Amino acid sequence: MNTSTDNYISRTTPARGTISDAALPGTAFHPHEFDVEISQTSLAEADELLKATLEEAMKAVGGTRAFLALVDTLSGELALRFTAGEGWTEDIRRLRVNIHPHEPGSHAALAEGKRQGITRHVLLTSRRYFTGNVNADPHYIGFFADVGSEVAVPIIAPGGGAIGVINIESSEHNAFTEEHANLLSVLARRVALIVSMAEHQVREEALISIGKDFNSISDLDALMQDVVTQATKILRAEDCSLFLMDDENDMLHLAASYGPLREQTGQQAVAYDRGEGLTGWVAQHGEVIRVADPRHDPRWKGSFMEAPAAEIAAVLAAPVWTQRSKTGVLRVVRLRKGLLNFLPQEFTQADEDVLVTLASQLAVAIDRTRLMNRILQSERMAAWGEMSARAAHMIGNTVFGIKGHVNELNHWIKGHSAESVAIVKTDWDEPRLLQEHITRGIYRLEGILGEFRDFVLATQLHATEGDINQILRRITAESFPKHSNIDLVLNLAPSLPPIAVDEVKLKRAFSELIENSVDFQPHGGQLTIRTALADRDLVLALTRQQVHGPVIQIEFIDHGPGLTEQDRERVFTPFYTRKAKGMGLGLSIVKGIIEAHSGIIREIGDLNAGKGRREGAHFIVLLPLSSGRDAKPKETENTANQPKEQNGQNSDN
Amino acid sequence: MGRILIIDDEDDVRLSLERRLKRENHEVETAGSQAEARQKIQDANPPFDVVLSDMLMESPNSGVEVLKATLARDIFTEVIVLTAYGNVSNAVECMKLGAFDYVEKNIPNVDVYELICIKIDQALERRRSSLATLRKMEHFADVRGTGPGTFNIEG
Repeated sequence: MNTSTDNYISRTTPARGTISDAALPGTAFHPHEFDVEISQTSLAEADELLKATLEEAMKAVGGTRAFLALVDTLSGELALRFTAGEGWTEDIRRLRVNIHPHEPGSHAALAEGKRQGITRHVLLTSRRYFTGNVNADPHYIGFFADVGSEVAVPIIAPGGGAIGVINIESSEHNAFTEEHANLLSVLARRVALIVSMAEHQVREEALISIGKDFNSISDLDALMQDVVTQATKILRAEDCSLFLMDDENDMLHLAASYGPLREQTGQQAVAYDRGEGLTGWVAQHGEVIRVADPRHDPRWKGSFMEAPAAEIAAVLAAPVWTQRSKTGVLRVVRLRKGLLNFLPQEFTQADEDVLVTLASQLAVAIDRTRLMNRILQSERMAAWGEMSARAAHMIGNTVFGIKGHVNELNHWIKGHSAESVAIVKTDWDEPRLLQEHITRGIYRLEGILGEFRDFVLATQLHATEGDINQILRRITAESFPKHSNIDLVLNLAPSLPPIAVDEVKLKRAFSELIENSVDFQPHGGQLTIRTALADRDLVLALTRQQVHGPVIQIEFIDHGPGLTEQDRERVFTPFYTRKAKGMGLGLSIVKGIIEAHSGIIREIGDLNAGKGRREGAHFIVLLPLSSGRDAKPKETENTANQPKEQNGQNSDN
Repeated sequence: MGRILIIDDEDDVRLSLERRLKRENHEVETAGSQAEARQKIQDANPPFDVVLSDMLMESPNSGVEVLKATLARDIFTEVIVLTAYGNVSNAVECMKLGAFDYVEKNIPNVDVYELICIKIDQALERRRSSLATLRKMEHFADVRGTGPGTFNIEG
């Protein structure tokens, strides 16, 4: 009768009468929204089937006009997809039925006689409806003037929930019976199947295209972002987030997200402990979680950041099993949309399968990327080690030669100055001075070469059983200055267990720490060297992991200027130095040696100094007893840096 | 004082060592490669007293090859191996095979040339004593008429 009711909206974009140009029920995307090309064949086939089914339905019940409407889950509207019979115009086809459910109390509108439309009524109630005389019907709103009676059946998705309506009208009154409605219900079931098949097909193609992305996108971050984006769309969710376990602090951190959390990717705030909430549970147990209304789940902690808890309708989360690091979690969340609450909101088994597939593909991609990075890194290190060793060797040879020449020059000057002073008064002081400078330069150059070599060889251990206290006593006797205004305090715990160490390397590391301390206290001070069996809590605090077996703790505490907060991290990086001499490799060599022993070294300042200016450096070295036994295999593991001249064991003597 | 062969592929090293050892009154020859060294060792008559060889030249084992060639010519020629600072594993191997000693080239704060001169003197001393012992044994054997007179020892 009229087309200007509030509930009908005319769209500027024409409905082309196919299911591919609008959302499929059950999927929250338009196929053309994907970057990928989805083959139109399957959808065209579905279109044909749907159209034929509608024609068949009309004929079967003897109607004069018919249409098939499906829910557009993006806009929340019913759209006329197919029509049959005479008189349909593009304008009518373009109509969208607003399906906002009535707010409570809006029955008043009905009472006032404001009609809501039979199609909408059927969709919202999920029940068939027929009327013998449309003009007397409380729901009817019509497109045409010549309609007598009408029958409409809901299209129910295989998982439950109405996704559309088949509507047939006749110019005669009382044209339809219960029998007709039964017939239509069977056809409506067929329609639902066709739609769900098409939906699966679209989903499958989207998955295949993501699969291709796995091969073509080499940047892991971009790939992770791609996966969460596609997963959000395929799974008709509001948010898809990927959490990866941080090996250091055993927490799940947001690695990628599509939806409300996207802005917070990489921020520390969005994190879960292992076992915390649903997400943490998945990481801990390595199992999938699929829940509708997570508030009723005992594991729920209510700490989702996407939306208020009451708005979350369903959660689906799958573990991401990677080979080289701890389990991550891929999680999708559906919000409780008032708009479409007649549609099923729980995730289905099919959704779960999709997410699990994506999670496992993602795990492979993460592993592959990490492996590639490791290979690249080790190749780079090998090349670098090889180059350094060669360079050091050649420079060393040349320096050695020059040193010989300078020695000879020195000798020559000595010889000639003695006789020439007597004969002609030649001033030999100048060349002698120059020669001294050159000699000093060469000695310095050899010192740098030595430092360089130590750096390259730091990780190659030749471990034997040793006593840390004994090593410290020896090294202080050797390298602590005999006449110094620095007090040396040795505070060594008795009866430390023996530990497998490379004594030469360890002495090199300790002497560097001692020398540093002495250098930074030019006007006197104190150096305390302390050993002990490390406290469990301290080990945990410093290493952030459980270490099995005893750990020996060695501390170097002085009264020098100490380190700034920034320096504390930087001092261990190569080529960083606060001293004029040397290449700045000192502490990085120390770190390399300690780490080759599976230990750690930290500068912890003076933890007890309070808030004021920290005074003095406080280095702490932790050497685990158990790892000392692994030190031997390490030797072979690190052949990368090994110069050519060597084949196997090393010794510094 | 002694007949010495210096083997090193670095011109500067050869030159400065030669100069220094001549200053110490040694009779010095040099070789710049493993092959040249082998030739000179074979052709030397009398054999060298001391061979001073770089460890790493054409191959990481050049020093070992030189050592073998030297001992094949005269088992009492003393061999000193020069090696890069810190890379002593092969040099130690050489000592097990009979080298007199090894010297690291770039020991910080050490005048290695001085060290080499001392080692060469020690090596010459050992060679002298070895040869003296051998002569006594030969003499003893000759007197007994059953001696291993086939030893090809010269110098």
